[in-house]
Amino acid sequence: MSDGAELPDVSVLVSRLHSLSCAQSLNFREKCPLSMDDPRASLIAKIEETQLPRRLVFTNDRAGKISFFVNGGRLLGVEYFTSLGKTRFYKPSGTGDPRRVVCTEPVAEALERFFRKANQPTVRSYRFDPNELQDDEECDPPAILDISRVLSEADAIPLSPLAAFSDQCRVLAEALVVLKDGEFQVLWGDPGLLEPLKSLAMEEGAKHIEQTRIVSEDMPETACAIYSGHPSGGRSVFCATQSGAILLALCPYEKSTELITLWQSHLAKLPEASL
Amino acid sequence: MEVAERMRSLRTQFPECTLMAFADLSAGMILSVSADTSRMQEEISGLCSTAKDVLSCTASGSLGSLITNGTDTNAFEAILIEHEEVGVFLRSTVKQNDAFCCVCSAQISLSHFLPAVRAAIDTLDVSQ
Repeated sequence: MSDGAELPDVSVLVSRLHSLSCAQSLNFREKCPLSMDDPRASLIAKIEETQLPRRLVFTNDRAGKISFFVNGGRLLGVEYFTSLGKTRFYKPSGTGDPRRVVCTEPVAEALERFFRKANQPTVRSYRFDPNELQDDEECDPPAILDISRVLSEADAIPLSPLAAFSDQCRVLAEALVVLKDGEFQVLWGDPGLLEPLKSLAMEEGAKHIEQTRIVSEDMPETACAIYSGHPSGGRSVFCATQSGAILLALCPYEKSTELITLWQSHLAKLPEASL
Repeated sequence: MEVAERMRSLRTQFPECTLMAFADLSAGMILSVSADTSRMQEEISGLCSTAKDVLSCTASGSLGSLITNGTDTNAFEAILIEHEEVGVFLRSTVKQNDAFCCVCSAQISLSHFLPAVRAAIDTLDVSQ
C-alpha cells in the first residue's frame, strides 16, 4: 500500500459497497419505487449497480412488466411484452452494456410502452441462475427459449379467446400457459414454474381431446376448475377450457378467489350460445 | 357443534349453498347431508365420487408438485365452476380424510364462503 495511486477511487468503492450491501443482500422482493425524474437512467443505474445474478422485474401501475436478467452490471437478456401482449426474449449479442441494450429495438419500443403507462414504476429483484444462460452459449433459458420458438410459430395462428383472457390473469398469476391443438399459444411467467405447468397442460390437453371425441361437437365446452394446495403456503392451479383451448394459471393460494371472480366476469361477457 | 348442525348453520349463513355433505374420503362415503330439498341417493353418491376424484387428483405428480407448500402435495380445495352452479370441495387440514362437498348457485360469494367452510371443517370434532 505504499503507492497511493494504486488505490481505487473511494467513491467507486462506496458505490460498489452500497450496491452489494443494499440491493444484493436485500434481494429486494419488496417493491422499490423507480425515480421518475429520468426513469430510463434510473433503470440503467439499477442494472449497473446489480452485481450478483438477478432477475430485475420492473412493474408499472397498469400491471405491465419488463424483466432484465443481470449479472455483474451486464445485461444477459430482456423479457418484454410486444404491443399485442405477447412475451418475447431478447438476448444481446455484444457486451451486454445496459446503455446500449435499452436503446436496441425492440427493447427500446417495449420500454417506451412500459414508461408511457407508468406513474410510479417499481422494481423487484429475484435470484437468477446465470448457468441457465451460460451452459450453452447458443441457448437462452429453456422456458424462455420455448416462449420465443412457440410464439413465432403461433404468430400465424389466430389467438383463442382464452389467450386474450390470459392477459388479464397475469396480474394475479405467477405462471400461465394456453394450449390449443397441441400448440402453446401463451407461455408466461417464472421459468421454474413453467415446465411443470406445461406438463400438466399436456396431460389436461390429452384428456380434453378424449372428452371432445366422446361428446357432441355442438356441446358447450366452457368450463373451469381450480385446485388448491394447503392453505398455509400452497398454490392454486386454475384450469379453464373454452373453444378447444386450455388455460392453466398458477397463483398463490390467496389469489385463487380473485382469479375465479375474473373468470366469472369473463363468462358474463360471453354470448349465451357459447356457454 | 356437531357436523349436521355446523352444515345447517353454514347454509343459513349462505343460502346460495343448496347442498352440503360431509364425506369420509378414505371410505368413499357421505356421512351427513344438509340440503334445501331432498336429493336422490345417486346424486349424493356422485358428489362423493367427485370429491374423491378432485381432491385425490395430485397422485399423478404434476399437479401436486405445483400446488405443494413444500411439505404436503395433497389438494385441499377444489372448485368446479359451471354456468349455473359452483361445486366446492374442501379437505380438512387436520383430519385429511374429512371433507365438505358443497353445491352452490353461481351467485355464491366465494371470497366469504370459502373461509367460512375452511374454518368449519378444520375445527370439526367428529368424535363428538
